[in-house]
Amino acid sequence: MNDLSELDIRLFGMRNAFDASFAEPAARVEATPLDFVALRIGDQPYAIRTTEISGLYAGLAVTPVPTSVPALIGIAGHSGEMLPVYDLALLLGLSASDGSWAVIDAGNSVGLLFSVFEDHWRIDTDEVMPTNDGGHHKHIQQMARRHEELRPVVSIPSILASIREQAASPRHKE
Amino acid sequence: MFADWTFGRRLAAAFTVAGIVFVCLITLAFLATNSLIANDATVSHTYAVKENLAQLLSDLKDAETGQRGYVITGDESYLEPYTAALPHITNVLGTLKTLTADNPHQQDRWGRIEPLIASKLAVLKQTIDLRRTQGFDAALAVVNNGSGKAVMDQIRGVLADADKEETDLLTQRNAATEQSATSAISVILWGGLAGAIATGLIGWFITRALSHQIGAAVGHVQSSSAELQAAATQQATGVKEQVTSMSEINTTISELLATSRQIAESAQRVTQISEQTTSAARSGDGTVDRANDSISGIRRQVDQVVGHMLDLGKKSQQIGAVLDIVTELAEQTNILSINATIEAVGAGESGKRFSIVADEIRKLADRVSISAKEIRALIDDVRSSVNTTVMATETGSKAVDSGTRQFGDVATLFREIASLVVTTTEAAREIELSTKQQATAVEQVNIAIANVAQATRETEASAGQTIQTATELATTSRDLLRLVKSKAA
Repeated sequence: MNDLSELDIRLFGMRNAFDASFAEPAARVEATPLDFVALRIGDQPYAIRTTEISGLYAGLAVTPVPTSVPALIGIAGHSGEMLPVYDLALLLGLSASDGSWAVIDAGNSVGLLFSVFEDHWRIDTDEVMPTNDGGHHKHIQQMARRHEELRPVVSIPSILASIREQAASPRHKE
Repeated sequence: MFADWTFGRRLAAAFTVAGIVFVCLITLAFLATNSLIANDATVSHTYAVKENLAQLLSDLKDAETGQRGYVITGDESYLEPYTAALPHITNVLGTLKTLTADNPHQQDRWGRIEPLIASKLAVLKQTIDLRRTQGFDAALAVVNNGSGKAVMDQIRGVLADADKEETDLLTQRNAATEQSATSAISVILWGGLAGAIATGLIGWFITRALSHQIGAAVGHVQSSSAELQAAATQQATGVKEQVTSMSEINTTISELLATSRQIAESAQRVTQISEQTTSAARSGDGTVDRANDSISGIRRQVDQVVGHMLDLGKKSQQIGAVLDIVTELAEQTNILSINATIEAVGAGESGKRFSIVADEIRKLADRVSISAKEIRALIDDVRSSVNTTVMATETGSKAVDSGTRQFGDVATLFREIASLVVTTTEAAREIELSTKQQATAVEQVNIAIANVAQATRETEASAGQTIQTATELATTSRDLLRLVKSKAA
């Protein structure tokens, strides 16, 4: 009964909050918040800026293709175009993941596969800070914090640059 | 020969011998005395005859004196001696005849003297009559003729002869009497001496024999009294221990009696409880049947519960499937809201308001996702509970099956228990009866023990008395032995 009463209270609160959202004036964004996608690669937590991707997708159908690039899993169709899909874990130097979640970069050029989508973070800019190791990892330059939780921020442009760098290497061309 | 004789037989023999000696002595003395008395009687008889002879002569003289006086004087008073002597003469003569009846010589003399006396008396009467009728002279003439004197002389001669014979007889009888006296004295003197010697010998013999025999017997009595004293002392000690033991036994019997009564009461309570148990077991038999029916009903209910639980599990699975759809929709909504946010950011300033709506949608999707997770958890709990319940119910169903079988066994056991309880009740009654009998027996034993204790106390007193008696007997036997030994010595 107590649990039921608690659920009723929560439902009542949710309903009021939902109804109140229509009565409130249009929000004015004073500070520019930063949006992150909180995800898990392998068993490690990471975050990706939403401004660096064009979308988040679950169950992206990937067709494997023969390739000499280890991180390249295959190709997938998205919005009528063909995209190469890479394993984000391998790109970060981790062991291969078996994820089905994917993000697509802001230029809709590459799909990046990872393990699990966990949450959506909206934090202030002062919650984003550089890494303590002085940018030892080339794809991770910043850390995002919400509440007491810290997550490395994966730089998608850096990832893309690395992919392009690999694609442009003479061995790969051959 | 005499060694085997008893004490009484020896005394009887001794006194018999002494009695025989004294009887002989008395007989001899009696005979001697009797002879002496007989001789003395003959002497006295002789003296009596002599006295009558003298009396007869005196009476004749009195008659003659009276006759002379009257003749001389003519006075009648002088006739009184004459008158008195006449009948007396006849009597004395008769007495003499009687006294000398055994003597023919004297009887012959009396035959001769009787006419002489008659003649003399006739002369006297004649002279008296003549003096009275004719006077003195006539009478004197008759006296002078001497007839009277002659007769008187004859009478005197006869009486002198008779007296002489009696004197001779007296002499003989005195000698015989003296001899009888001597014999009697000898018999009494020597017989008494012989009796005394015989009695002394018998006494010595008896004393010697009895001293030996009594001394030995007294010695035995002394040793026996000492043994009796020791035995009585030992008996007194044993009796004291027995008194103590009897007291302890009495106490123990009292405790045993109390215990027996407690056992009897307990057995009675056990009987009551057994009877109640029998009644309960009988009612429990019906209860077992009803419980068996109830278990069968429970079995059916459990089957229904299992069915409902399985349906509930299926419904939970369906809810889970629906919830998967809801969760999927929430995730997709979340993804769409994120993507909408990304698109809104891409739209620049005009997309900010849309970004806010997208954010609200994302929050709503988050809430839906959270609620879906909670529902998932609840569904999982429900399914787990259903599975647990189904398993528990199936286990319960199996337990009910097992319980039904076991309950059948219990019912069978219950009937056996009821039967055994009946047997137990009978046994408890027997125990109660036996214990009551035992209590009664113990009471009787208690009474008997009390009697035995009383008898033991009396025995103790008797043992004390026996000790005292044995001590006195020992003292007496010592004194007696000392007396016997000193007498024997």
